[in-house]
Amino acid sequence: MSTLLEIERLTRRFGGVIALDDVTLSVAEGELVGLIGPNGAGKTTLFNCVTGVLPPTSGGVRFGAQHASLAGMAPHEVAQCGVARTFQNNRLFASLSVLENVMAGAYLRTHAGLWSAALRLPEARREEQWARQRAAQLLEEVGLQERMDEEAVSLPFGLQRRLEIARALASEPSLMLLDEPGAGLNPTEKQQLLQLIGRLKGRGLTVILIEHDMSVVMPVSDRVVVLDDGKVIAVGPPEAVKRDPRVIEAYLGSRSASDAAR
Amino acid sequence: MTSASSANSKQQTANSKSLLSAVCCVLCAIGALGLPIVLNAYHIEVLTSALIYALLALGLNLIVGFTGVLHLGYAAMFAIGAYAYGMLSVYGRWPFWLGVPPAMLIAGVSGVALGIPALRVRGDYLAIVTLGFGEIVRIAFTNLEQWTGGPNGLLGIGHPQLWLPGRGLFNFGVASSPYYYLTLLCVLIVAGLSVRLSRSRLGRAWIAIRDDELAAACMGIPVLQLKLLAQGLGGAVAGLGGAIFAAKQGTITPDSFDFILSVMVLAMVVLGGLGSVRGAVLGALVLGTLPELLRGFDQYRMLLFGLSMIIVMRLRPQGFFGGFRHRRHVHAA
Repeated sequence: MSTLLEIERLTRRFGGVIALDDVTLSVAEGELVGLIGPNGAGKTTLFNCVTGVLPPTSGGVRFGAQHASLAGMAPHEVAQCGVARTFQNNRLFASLSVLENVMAGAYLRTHAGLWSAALRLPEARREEQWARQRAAQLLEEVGLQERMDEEAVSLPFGLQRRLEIARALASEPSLMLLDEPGAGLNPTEKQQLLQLIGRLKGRGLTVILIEHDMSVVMPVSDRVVVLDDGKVIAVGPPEAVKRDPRVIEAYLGSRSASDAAR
Repeated sequence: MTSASSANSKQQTANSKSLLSAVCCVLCAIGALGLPIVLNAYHIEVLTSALIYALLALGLNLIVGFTGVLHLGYAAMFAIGAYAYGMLSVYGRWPFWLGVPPAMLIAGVSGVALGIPALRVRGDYLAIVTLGFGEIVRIAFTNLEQWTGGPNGLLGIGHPQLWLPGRGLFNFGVASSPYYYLTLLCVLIVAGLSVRLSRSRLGRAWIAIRDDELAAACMGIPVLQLKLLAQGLGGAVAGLGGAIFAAKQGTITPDSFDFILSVMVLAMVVLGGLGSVRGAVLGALVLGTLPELLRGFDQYRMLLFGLSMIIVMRLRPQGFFGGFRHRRHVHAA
């Protein structure tokens, strides 16, 4: 399998704090990588550096078959390359409906210019129809088809999470970065979410999944990456990582806590 | 009830709603067309200036309402449009209809040119930069006396002329009603285009930027480019308004384009509801005519004007038509 994402010696400092310290990581096409680590380990900062939200202090990010460098790109350019993401604290578009949120996510897949949009020329109308259908399909996939016309931010928290995923999918990415999609969900919702993530992987989408809960990330991940204090301290199959003494020490604190997490 | 029939009935209510709003629009249009026959010249004058305000509010709505960029120097765009047509008319003897496109273009380009440096800063700082721009433009027009006439104004701007079948060349002159119809037509066109834009991918992208710029950028929406587009379009609409204003007045002075005008237009957009096209028009008509309607209260007029604004914003902070946009959708299922 070819490499889709290559993070090379990525470092990010905030003043004196080193949020990411020389992180090197590669993700293969179609892989589902679980990214875990204690609070403040740098997981979200890593996503921010990959998606252009934060410029890295040093190091590089390469993406795709051509190994194009993402370093120095603005977030919308990174998205154009085929990287989509969700956010730890939901960031939905508050004045748009559920359906329109997903349609807004499909911006890159539509092309109507100023004049055809303002005059509502036939091509713009057809495209609008297409975007609407596509968005409805995606909402069906995440189980929100009944709530298309509701205000996005009036949805219950768990459903907002799924809407964020549908919105990110609308750009038809090849890499999806999910920032703690399971946070704040109850066990049933979490199971549904895992099934959804499993389906995405089944369609060949490459996913990096940040998750706090070891028990959630372990069964779905092909590989698990453990960040602690900005450094990668372990990479490998879930079972191996689970037994890694450094992970147990840094992330779980003690052997008894590791039993509890299982 | 099956989901198909519920979708059907939803569609029906949506259809009857849109029929109702279409009927309302037609009635309003007929009413608006007939007004000059019923009302006297003073009323028409007031309504015409309210319509010019409506044009400005529609333009500013593209910037503040759609993209969420707080612009406090919008009067400058209006001034640039007015002086552009004014100078073309006075020095070049350009007819109105030929002068309008360059006035819109110059004002639009100015909007983009202001946006390029201004959009590097955010929030309060952006507001201050636009405010400064507004003042710079006004003071520049005051001081460039040899071209603009300075504080005495630019005199002798040509009125529009229209060749009418059977009546020959008709000069708009100084009467209000021809300008009333012209401005009404422009308001309808700009409002129509705004509504269509707001329901297009560009409109959704603008609203997305307003709601959450970072999330929008991560969806691949080119934030800066679309903000500049809104600035350019908003500028062009103000340019159109300025050209009509200049042609109507025949004389323009820099103090017609002061900071208070920028604030008033902003208040119209906010009162109508940020991002709402009909809100912008209604806000402009209310705030544009209210000071005249309150004339009977003599020196308490502006006090009541201010009070009524406070009361409206207290009762409806989202404006007349603001907030979540309930709209009908064509269901894909």
